[in-house]
Amino acid sequence: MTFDTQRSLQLPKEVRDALDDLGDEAPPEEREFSARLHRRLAAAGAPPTPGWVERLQGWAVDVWRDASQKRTLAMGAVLGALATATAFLLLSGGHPFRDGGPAAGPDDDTAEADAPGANVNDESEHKTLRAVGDRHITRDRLGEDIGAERPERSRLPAPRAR
Amino acid sequence: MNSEQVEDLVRRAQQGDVPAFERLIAEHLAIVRRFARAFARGHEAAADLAQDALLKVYRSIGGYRFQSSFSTWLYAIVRNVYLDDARSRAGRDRAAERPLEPGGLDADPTVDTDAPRADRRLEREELRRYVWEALGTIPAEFRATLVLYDIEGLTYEEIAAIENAPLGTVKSRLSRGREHLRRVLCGPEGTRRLGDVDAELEDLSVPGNSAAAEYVRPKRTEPA
Repeated sequence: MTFDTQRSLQLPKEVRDALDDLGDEAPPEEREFSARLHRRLAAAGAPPTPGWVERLQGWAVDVWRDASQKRTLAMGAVLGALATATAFLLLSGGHPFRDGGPAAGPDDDTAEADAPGANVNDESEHKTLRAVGDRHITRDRLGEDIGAERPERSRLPAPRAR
Repeated sequence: MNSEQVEDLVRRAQQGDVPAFERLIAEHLAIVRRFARAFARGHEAAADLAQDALLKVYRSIGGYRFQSSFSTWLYAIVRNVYLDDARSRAGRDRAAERPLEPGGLDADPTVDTDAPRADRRLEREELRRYVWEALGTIPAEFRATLVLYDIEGLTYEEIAAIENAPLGTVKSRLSRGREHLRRVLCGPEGTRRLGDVDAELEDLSVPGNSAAAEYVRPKRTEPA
């Protein structure tokens, strides 16, 4: 056993000295104690050897202890991965899927047009929608209502007159 | 004793070799007995408790699988026996877990009180008993940690291994045990009794204390 010289510093000196004194105390009647212990040990016979239950228990304790060390390593790896992912997220300015990912960023024009409930009355939205071309136009270029029921022009090119 | 010798003695003790077991525990006997003193009222009760603990160690030695040092394993079993005893009804009767009464400690009648030197020895014994009684008022778990650290000089790491507890738990137990002890010993009665402890300790150096010298630990060096 090693000895720590910095111990007992938080105790008053009197208490520290008293505890030191107890540590130096010699237990009395050493010979009588040893003789009595010898008699009791001899009377006890050989210590029992551990049976299969105790061995299994010991094995389980060992496995549990090893597993707890492995759990610590795995936890460290998971925490490290999370920290790295968080760092990348912060460095990328909060746009992890900016370059071609499946989700759309806030400055993606087509995403707004595709979104349900887009405001079709707004002029800029109107142009955007027209550019996209997936909705019926209900106003002409001067803003006059041309009717929603107007039949859509055929997309097939008209036959040329000869 | 090196590790090969310890291993050889353990294997022989596991076969029922009592002298081998006695050699194995010889260097730990004083600590085991002093440790027991913190859980029993008086030296006789402490001796009984220490014997029970060592017998338990002997019966359990077949299960020692060299996973930790032998001393750690030994102190762990001893500590558990002491704590179990303190929790049991018999242990409560045997242990000194009772309020410390001022002036409640009488002189040991076995000590010769004729000579002046015997008077000093008597005072010293009385003071020691007073401190042991004060230790007995601390809750058992904190007491075990405090005795192992402040009296027996073990390190935090060694105590953590013995108690199978994290370092923080050991430090917390030690701190709470010290706080409790400080409250008891630094009260009016404790201050009066501990007041002359320095003078009492000087008497340790008188010749004729060879029995005590066997157990003297390395002296602590006070920080500058």
